Amino acid sequence: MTVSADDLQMLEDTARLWVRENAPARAGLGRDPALGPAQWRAAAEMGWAAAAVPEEAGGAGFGFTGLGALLGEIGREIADMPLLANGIAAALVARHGSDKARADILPGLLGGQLRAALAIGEGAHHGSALATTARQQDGGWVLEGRKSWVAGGADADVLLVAARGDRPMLFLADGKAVKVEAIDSVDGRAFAHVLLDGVAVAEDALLVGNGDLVAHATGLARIGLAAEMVGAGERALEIIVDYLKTREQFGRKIGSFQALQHRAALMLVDLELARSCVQAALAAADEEREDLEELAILAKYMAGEAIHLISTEMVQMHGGIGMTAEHVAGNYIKWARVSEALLGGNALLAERYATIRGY
Amino acid sequence: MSDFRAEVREWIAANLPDSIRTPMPEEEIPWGGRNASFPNPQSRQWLEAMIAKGWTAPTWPAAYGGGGLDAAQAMILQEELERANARPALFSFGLWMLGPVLLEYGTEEQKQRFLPPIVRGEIRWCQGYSEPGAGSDLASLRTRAEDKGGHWLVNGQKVWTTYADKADWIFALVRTDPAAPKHQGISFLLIDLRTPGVSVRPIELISGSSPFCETFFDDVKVPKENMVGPLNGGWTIAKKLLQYERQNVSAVGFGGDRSVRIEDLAKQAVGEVDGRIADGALRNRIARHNLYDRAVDLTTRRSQIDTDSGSVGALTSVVKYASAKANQARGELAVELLGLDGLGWSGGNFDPRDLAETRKWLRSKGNSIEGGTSEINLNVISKRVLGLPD
Ligand SMILES: Cc1cc2nc3c(=O)[nH]c(=O)nc-3n(C[C@H](O)[C@H](O)[C@H](O)COP(=O)(O)OP(=O)(O)OC[C@H]3O[C@@H](n4cnc5c(N)ncnc54)[C@H](O)[C@@H]3O)c2cc1C
Repeated sequence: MTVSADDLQMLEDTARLWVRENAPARAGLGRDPALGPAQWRAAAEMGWAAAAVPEEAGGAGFGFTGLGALLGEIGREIADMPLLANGIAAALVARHGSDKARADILPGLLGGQLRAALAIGEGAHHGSALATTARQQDGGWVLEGRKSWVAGGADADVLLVAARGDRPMLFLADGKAVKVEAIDSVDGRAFAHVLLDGVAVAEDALLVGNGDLVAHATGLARIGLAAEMVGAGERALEIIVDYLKTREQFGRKIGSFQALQHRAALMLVDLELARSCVQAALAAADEEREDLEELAILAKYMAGEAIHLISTEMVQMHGGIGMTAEHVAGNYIKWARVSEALLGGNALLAERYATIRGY
Repeated sequence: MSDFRAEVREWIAANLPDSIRTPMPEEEIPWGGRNASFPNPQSRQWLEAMIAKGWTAPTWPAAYGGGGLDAAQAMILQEELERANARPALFSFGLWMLGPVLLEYGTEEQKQRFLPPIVRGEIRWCQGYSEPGAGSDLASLRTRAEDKGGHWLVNGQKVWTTYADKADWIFALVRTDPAAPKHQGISFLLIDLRTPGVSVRPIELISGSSPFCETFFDDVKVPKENMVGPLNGGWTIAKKLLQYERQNVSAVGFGGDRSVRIEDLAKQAVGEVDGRIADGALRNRIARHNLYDRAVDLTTRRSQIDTDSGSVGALTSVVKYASAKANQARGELAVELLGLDGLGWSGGNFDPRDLAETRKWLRSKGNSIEGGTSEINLNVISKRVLGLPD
């Protein structure tokens, strides 16, 4: 099945050191100039993209729990790396791809030579609405539609596209076959809108499996994002607590004021609640449980609550310095809001949860 | 499925009586004790079956009547019990609070004497911590225990002692060295409530029930061997017990009856459209509440795994804080949704179900006070977990 507690800890420790060394969070506006293909190549060489793929299929066999641990480490440094997309795309292709896709595309996804993007959502607040269509033609399919806020969309070699045929379907599409429009987002991450203007794909580009694979992929993406968000919240809280322990006013550490202590404690409460949900959702993904979508919503929702609070307090508890572009707090709060909105914000997630639960 | 899971599932199917698969009304909570009552005879049958397996205390050693399970097996057992909607076989301060510290700090003789009756629900325990002058600042407690050679002589008063009027024994914090700094003169003492000089007086709560009492000690003689841990070393044990309390009381949802689902109350309040709560804003609030509640349950379980594998720790205050918040939010929602029907006190004009919701709402206000207040738990988190300075 999945990874042992000891192996998981080792994976996490190694990843923490590596991300801190190679892709640390930084202050300053815009895209991180130090981040590029080099980091991704190195991470891929360590086998990270293969984490959730079983060993029989050429993967590392760490399960989604293992992938989630790595995403948490990337989230800690709010590093813009395509692990979420590659890790999930690789797992989906390994499990649901055609023989040809598994032969031609999977190895590149696992090794990181091919960069994937998840072209699922069509609006920051409408993670599960699906207007993109798939129409059968000449023994293959033609995809028509527009995907928005696709992480890594501009650099992707392979896109995992959600489209509606006679049911929600998932296709692999060539990055060169689509038009992309890069976005200058508030958090400096590399998002793009992706235009599918009559993109023809072969029959073997279709992913095949039981149930609604689009819902499944959306669930996995939400869980992966929630794992990053818990990582980011964890690191942001560490930075806050460090500041509370060092900054002095009125002749004492500001962390000795009970008003601030309680607010810090409340952040930990929300963070730990979110962590429990992410762990449960990752386990559900590994066990291929029926209630995956529910747990994915729960994880993303609670991670959103936690990181909203923590990132807001991060600016406030640093005082003036927290408002400056010289401090990292601004980058955490921007990253947080974008992540909260991606794949459905909390109002939408709650509505969807009510639907699933029958009220 | 693992062999153990299959075995447990089969055993539950064979032994769990039908009525024990339904939500538990307050009056059927099986508290055990010398005067145990079982308004539903199947509760007794279920308790006896569980005792025979040692599964009222799944992780305690078999030598003391426990199930001898490891943490992973205990989790499987719990999952299977939940899957079958089984009620807990026994509610007990002995199981949740005293037992775990006896296992860690008790002498072999004390373990053999006190643990098996806890597992079997024969002795019901209550907790003698708080005093009129010592609540959050528990270590300032003043109930005295003097060394009289052959016994301890106890004088003083406890307060808010839940179920002291129904319990058989009390585990109490007593001052054994008034001259020492306050944390260093406290000992942990076990007292039979039938001992002459002990008296209890029930106190009425805002919810109208009287679960807790004042407990008075007037020249009470307690055998020397009833002290747990070293003389004047009670504070460490007291704190450890509080961690178990916070963990376990949260795990049983403060014993609150959740059989009425909040979404059903909402449907009744504003009507349904296509089977859904008609009002979207309300539906969103209910969903958000339920999401939070589920996150609390998952965290409580995480904390339980820590506890079963022998490391009570960082999560206990988180869980205590959050489960109190969730249960109180539930109570407020219920009363809000019932409108004025949720604000009756008694009598035939009200639906008994609604009257029960009103009482639960009032009782839930204590959740952020009992077992250490929410403010104190936030103090614990900020100082001990986050390491913030004094
Ligand atoms: C339903 C219920 C059942 C109980 N059962 C038992 C029992 O079985 N056995 C037992 O021994 N006790 C029991 N208690 C007592 C409970 O443990 C105490 O009430 C609790 O510890 C608070 O003490 P107090 O009532 O003296 O309030 P106080 O300590 O006087 O607190 C008053 C207020 O001040 C706040 N406060 C106090 N100190 C601080 C601080 N340092 N920082 C910030 N805020 C602070 C508190 O949070 C609270 O809001 C029970 C209480 C309730 C409500």
